[in-house]
Parts: sequence; C-alpha cells; structure tokens
Amino acid sequence: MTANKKKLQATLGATCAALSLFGASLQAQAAATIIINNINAAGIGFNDATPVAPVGGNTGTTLGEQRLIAFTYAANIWGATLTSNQPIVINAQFSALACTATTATLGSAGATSIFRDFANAPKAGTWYSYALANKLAGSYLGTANAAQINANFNANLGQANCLAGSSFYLGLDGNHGANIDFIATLLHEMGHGLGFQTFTNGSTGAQNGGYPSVWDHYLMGTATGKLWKDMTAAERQASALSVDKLVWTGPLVTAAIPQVLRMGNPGLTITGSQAGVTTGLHAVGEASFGPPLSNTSVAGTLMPITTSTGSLDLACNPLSAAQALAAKGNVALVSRGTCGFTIKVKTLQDAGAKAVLIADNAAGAPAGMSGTDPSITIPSVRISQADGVALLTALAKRTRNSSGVFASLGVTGSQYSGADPLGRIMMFAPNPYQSGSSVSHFDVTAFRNQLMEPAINGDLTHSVLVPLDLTFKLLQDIGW
Amino acid sequence: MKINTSFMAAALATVGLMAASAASAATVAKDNVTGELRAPTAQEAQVLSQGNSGKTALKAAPRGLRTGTINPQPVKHADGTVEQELDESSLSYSVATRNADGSIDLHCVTGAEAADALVKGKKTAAKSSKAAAVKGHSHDSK
Repeated sequence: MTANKKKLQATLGATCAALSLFGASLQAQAAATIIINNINAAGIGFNDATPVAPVGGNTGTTLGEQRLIAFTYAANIWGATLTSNQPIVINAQFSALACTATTATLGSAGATSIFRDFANAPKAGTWYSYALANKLAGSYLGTANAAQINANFNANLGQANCLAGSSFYLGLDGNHGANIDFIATLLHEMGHGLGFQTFTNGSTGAQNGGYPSVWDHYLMGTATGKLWKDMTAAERQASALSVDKLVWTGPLVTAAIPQVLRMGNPGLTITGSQAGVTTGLHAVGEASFGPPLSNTSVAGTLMPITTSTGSLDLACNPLSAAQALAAKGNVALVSRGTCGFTIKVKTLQDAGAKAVLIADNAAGAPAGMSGTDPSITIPSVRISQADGVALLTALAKRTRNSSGVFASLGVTGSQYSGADPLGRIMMFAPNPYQSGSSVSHFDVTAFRNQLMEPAINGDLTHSVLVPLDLTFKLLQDIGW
Repeated sequence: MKINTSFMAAALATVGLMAASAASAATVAKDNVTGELRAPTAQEAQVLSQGNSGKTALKAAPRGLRTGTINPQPVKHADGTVEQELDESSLSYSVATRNADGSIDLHCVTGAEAADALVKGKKTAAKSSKAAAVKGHSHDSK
C-alpha cells in the first residue's frame, strides 16, 4: 500500500503537469494504465473555461481543468491499485443530466461490454466486465481502441433547478463539507465499471443470455446454501430479497474482514448507585461524525445539561457557566432539536465533555445521526426519547458536576458489523427489491462504511484498500 | 400531415427529446457511419413505431454503450470469444436527493430507469431495516 501511494503521488505530479484541455487524452499510469478520453467539445464540461480558485489541493484554474484533475486523481487511485498489461480506456464527459431543484443525477459509469470464453478465462461460460477480461486474456479483446468504461457526469449540478446550491467538491482532500465529494462518487462508479456488479437480473433472476457473471460464482444465498450460479431464476429472485441471507464467499474479502469491519454492536451501558431502573444496556444510534464507537469504551459520569426550568437543553447556543461546569470532564446529556447534531456535540466538546448523549425528541428506536465536522473528536450517540426521560429522572439527585450515574459507550458481541454469523460480508438484499441497488453492493450495515455500499456516505476516505475498504479485495476475488 | 423528424443512430440521444406521434410521423435516420440522413432501417422503424410517441419508443429501446446499436446482440469473435455490448440498463448512476432538513442522500442505482425514478421522486424502497439503528445512515442531521 505504501509503495502504491508513492507511485500514485509520483504519477499525479507528472499527470497534472501534463494537463491540457480540449480533446485531451490523459494517462493515469501505474500498475494499470488508465487512459481518460476527454470527449467534451470546446467550452463544455472538461473544457469549461470558467475561472475558479484552487481548492483542496486541486490546482486547476478553470472549472474544466479542475474537473479533469479530479477525474484523473480518482483514475490514478484505481490505476495504482489494479494490475493489468492492457490499458483501461475511459470515455469521459460532463453533460446535462436529469435534475430538479432537490434531486439530480450526479453521473453514470459502467462497462461498455462484457466477454465470456476468451483465451485464459478462469471460468468457462461466465461473463467478465471488459477491462477485467482484457487483463485476464492478456490482450485487447473486441474492437481495437474501444473504451472499456463510459463515464458521464452532470455539468449543471448546483445551478438553479439542479440541486441548487450543492455542487461537486473538486478538491482532492476529501474535505467536501456540505457539497458532494466528486472523487468518492467517481471511485464508486468506476468500481462498478471495473466489475463490481452482476450482469444477472436480480429482479427476475434471469442470467444474461443464459450465462452467469463471475460475480455469481461468489454470491451465496444462505437460506439455500447455493451460489447464485447454481440457483434457478426463481431461487435467485428470492435470494435477492433475503435481507441478511445474501453473502459474498470470496476468500480474499472474507479473510480481510477482521481488519476492516468492526466487531460487535454499539450500545450505552448505564451503571451507578443512582442509576435505578436505567441500569443496563441501551440501544443507540451512531453518529457519522466524530470517532466511531469501539471495543475500548468511553466512560464517565453522566450529567444532564439543563435549562433554567430543569428540562434538557438543546445545546445550540454557548453554554452558561453552570452548564459548562456540568459538561466538563463528563458524559453530557442534551436534547435533540433546533440545530444540527454536530453543533450540539461541538459545543459540548468545547466545554470539555468527553462524550455526548442526545435524547431524541420523538418516540421510536434511536436512528443514526448525520452530519460532518472533522473538528469533532469525542464520541456521541442518539438515545431514545424514553431513555432520555428515564435518565433525567435518575439524575435528579445530582450536584453541580456529579450524579452517581455512569455512562459507558462502546461495542459488545463477536459478530462483525455488516457480516453474517460465519464472518462473510453481507450483500445488499432489501425487501422489497430496490431497483438498481440490490445485489451489486455491500450491505448498508457494514461498519466502517464501505465505498461500495448503495448510499455513498459522507465519511468515506478515498481508499479502496484494507484496512479501510474491502472493494479491491472483492475485485481480486473475481480476478483482478 | 404532421411531420416530425427524428434522428437516430449516432444522434439517438437527441431523439428522445422529440415528441412524435408514431402513427403520423415521417421519420428519417442519421447514419451512424456516414452522418447522412437516410430512411430508417426496419429495426429503427420498429423502435419508432413502438408506443405512442417517438420519445416513449426510444426510451424503451436499449442502445449499446460502445456503438449506439439498438438492442445489441452477442457477437462471437473469430477466436471463439463472445462479446455482449451493454446498454444503459447496466450503467451505474449516482443520484443525489436533498432531504427536508437540508441534508443530502447519495444513492447508487443501476440503470437509467432506476435513476430517473429517483430523480422524479419515485423512490420506493426503504433502507435495510436493520441498518438505521446501528450506524449513521439516518437522514437526520438535527
């Protein structure tokens, strides 16, 4: 990995220095050579001459140049990771795609062709994506100079009536804030183009032309114990809806799971002489910001941050002296509402709290908490409204900074988050079928978050490698 | 007679923008190789005749991602290799949706149809039921 990173950096320096715009073909060269064909016309997309300021390590001075640098950066990450003696050609462009004021197609990418029964094919009668087939064959299959991947991204994102106000973040450092990280989005879509998908129809169970994809050799329905390649169409159709009974059996992914996924489920443990009926383990919703919970618990005296009337404060404004004293060095309890989760947690962190519990303001099981703030360094969770009420009652006999109630945040159990009891990563199989997302993604329960989940999470890094990500391991399982 | 002109083959992307009554439409195709206008082939004409409009018909016709061929079929090369050119139904799309609280969800779906459904607000499936309580996949940011 270290060697790859060095190679990537060296390649980037050379590539960026060689940037040209209109009609450019860029080469992201490393262990595999990726050639980016800029197929935009003059003044459009990659050739948009609108002046922009450098951002996040992207030194381009026009919008088109920054787009091309970012695209090349993402291609370089894959190029430094994959090995192939055949070039991978990507036809790339920015164009107008479907939009409304609140939704937008960010872009699309995918393999242009699939191949079976080529020279050196590891599995007969099995479809492989174009770039992978070329690698395995050791030759350029199909039509000379054909592109292996098409990629097309939205040129109008952020304009009026196209998710107005939210644009692609073209920086290379992942600090996308409220905008959309172009690099992560592109890495994900290119992953599909490289072969992270089945070409079997998950909705009907029908194989493409009657042949399985290499994907189907590793996809197992645990309800039947059969691989997808061995199932009937009806069995595949049912397997695609099996929720937690669709797993990946590839040996490289399975072996890497302990290095990537977290063991255990998150929870809040309450103890102490004043804990009363709240003593015990409580469900929590985790935050997408701050450090994730781990098997090293974060524990401390639980103190409520209250208003002058004794109810839980929202922690949306600077704390009073009394509130700050209660928070300092303790686990703080506040209420959800009015402002973002990150604002509350940051306010309490600044006051010296070591962790934060946010009591829900609506009934139900505690869901997760979205938001982004890289400056947050303490853990936080959401607890149920009922637990919040019970804890506030138990905390009634407190002093200004002591309560006799202790809170511990951590994970328990031996099952990896996102894997089945036998340690195989689960694939996305919701019921009802989620058109376009089911089967060809990791399940959303994976933690840490994975690049190839159907929802592109805001906390993704730009790594496709262990110990951060299992994407490349899966691609290796299918032949990369 | 109402005349509508549709350009196919290399210009297929523009065809979907044209509302045409297939029953009354005069059609012409733009040759993918020469760029010249010509009469549509039987296959192209069949595509245009499907449905109530050219827009509907062409939307339903899968087009090869590499050549633009309508409804691409497997090709057996001389060395025995079999190639299947893919169409838009196999492309992966990233779709962004802004929630009521201002946060943005990003979804990856396969196929233009699934992407269009999301953009048009026809998202049907919820997240995996086991997910929400254990990790930060909630839409809530406040």
